[in-house]
Amino acid sequence: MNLEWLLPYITLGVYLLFTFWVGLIGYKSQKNTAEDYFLANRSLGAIVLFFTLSATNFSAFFFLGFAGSGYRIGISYYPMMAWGTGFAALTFYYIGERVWRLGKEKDLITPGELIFERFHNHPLKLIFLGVMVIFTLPYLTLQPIGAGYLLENLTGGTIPYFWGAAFLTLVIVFYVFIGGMKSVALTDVFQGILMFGLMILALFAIAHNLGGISQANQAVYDLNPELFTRAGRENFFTQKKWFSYICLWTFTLPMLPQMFMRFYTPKTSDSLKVATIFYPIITGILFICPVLIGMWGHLAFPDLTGKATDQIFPLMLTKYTSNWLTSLVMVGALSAFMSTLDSQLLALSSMITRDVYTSYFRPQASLSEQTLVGRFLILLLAIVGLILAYQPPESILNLATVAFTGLSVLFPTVVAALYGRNVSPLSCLLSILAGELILIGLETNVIPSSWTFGFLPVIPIVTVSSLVIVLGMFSKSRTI
Amino acid sequence: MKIFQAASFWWFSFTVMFFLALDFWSWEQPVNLSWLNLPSWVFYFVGLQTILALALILWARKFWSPLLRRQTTQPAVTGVPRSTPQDETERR
Repeated sequence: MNLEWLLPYITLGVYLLFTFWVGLIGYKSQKNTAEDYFLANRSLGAIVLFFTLSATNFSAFFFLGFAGSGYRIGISYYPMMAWGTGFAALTFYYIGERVWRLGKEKDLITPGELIFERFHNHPLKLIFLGVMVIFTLPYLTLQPIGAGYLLENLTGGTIPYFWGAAFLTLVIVFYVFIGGMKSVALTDVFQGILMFGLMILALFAIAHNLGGISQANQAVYDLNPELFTRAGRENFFTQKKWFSYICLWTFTLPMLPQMFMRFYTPKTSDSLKVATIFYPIITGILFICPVLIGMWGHLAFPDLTGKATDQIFPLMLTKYTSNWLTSLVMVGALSAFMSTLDSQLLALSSMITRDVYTSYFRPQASLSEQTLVGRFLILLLAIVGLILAYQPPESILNLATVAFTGLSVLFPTVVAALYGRNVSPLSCLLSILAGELILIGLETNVIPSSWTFGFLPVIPIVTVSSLVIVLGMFSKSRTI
Repeated sequence: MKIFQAASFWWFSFTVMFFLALDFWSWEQPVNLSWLNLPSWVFYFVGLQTILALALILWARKFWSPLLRRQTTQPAVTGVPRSTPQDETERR
């Protein structure tokens, strides 16, 4: 049998077995309590927290989406993402630290519980939960999509797209099922190290075969100088759009439920501090890698359009690196997808279990029952994600932008919950509804896009949502 | 230095950095390839990101840590009302 042909399967098999083993370590140390299963007993140290925050955040959007955007837009995508995400790390303090403190004090497990703790309003809690679930599902879908693309490329089509997506999802469900947050956090450390190391390896390996980074850039510049402009190819970035994207990451990052719940998990505040400091460092170093690889894709694959551009990363690996290196780097990419999907599944299942099942149907549910329901929901959500992944979108960036905008609507409510005085739950409810209605209106063209005045929808949406809460505060203070 | 412990100083500093990241004043300038044949404006952002990382280190040591020490003597998160026993039952 040809070893060359077997190499991707062997690499994949070894990686998955190691992931299972790490997951089992988490399972064996479980205490079978809801806090332990959903939040690793609030015991994550600095290094584990940093890796779990990074690995959870860097996903198919990072590995495939960045390369695809680098191909379509150019080098300007790099500072927009690196700076925007690095700057957004400030929310680890301004939001994360308060969430951690309150969560410890009040034994909170989900974002909805914090909102209820603060406002004592059931409709608000449910709307908040609903928005988090609805707008996380499309982002969750990106991970099996990315896995499907990768496995299809890695095996030369032997594992078709949807079967690859389904297989990886099943693997993730298994170790999340058994180990909960402890397994997820431990596998995140392993997957984070792999992801970081192998992405840098991919850059240098491809560059080496193109004659070096400098030569590759020169060759792309000679072919298409627009890729090196500030605005990017076809003037993708206007100044208003640039401003909007940088704001979008700050508003969205803490609202991702898998990130929000990690704010509950640090052992001490010092763990969050370490993550805050290292985030801009890691984004500054890592994010340029897939963007450059995407840009260099014009040299070998000059005519890609639409969703095909999001496959530029595996295409470049297959073309410019050896089979074993391609397999190895693909494992790094799979690590990115798996580390995000496992966190999303766990976060959503815990939220629905605690905020709906135990709150309204079975308040007397034992902790064992809660974890059982949580596990069932993990399976259900994974199936929903797979169904949605059956038809991949035209662009990963577009799907992510809509999903993130929907989540950013929650930002003013969370800020109000953590810092506001005299904030009425009704104003927060109206804030969320107004924001989401505007988003739906813009996406369906009921509201003309000219009403955004050239900004991305996130700017008028968060502005209106914030104004609703501020007006509520003024009217409440006047009636007191 | 006491200024590093002032929240207003850090709000101002991070706001300035945010606006520096917009760099609209150099938007229309022609592309000028620099080290590794990357455009020179990319290194502006590399520099800005480095400044951000260094600022966060200073901020963590001079602002966050002392604030944390002061807060460990406080029993509750400021501005958040304590829940009632009924709330505890509802939440469980």
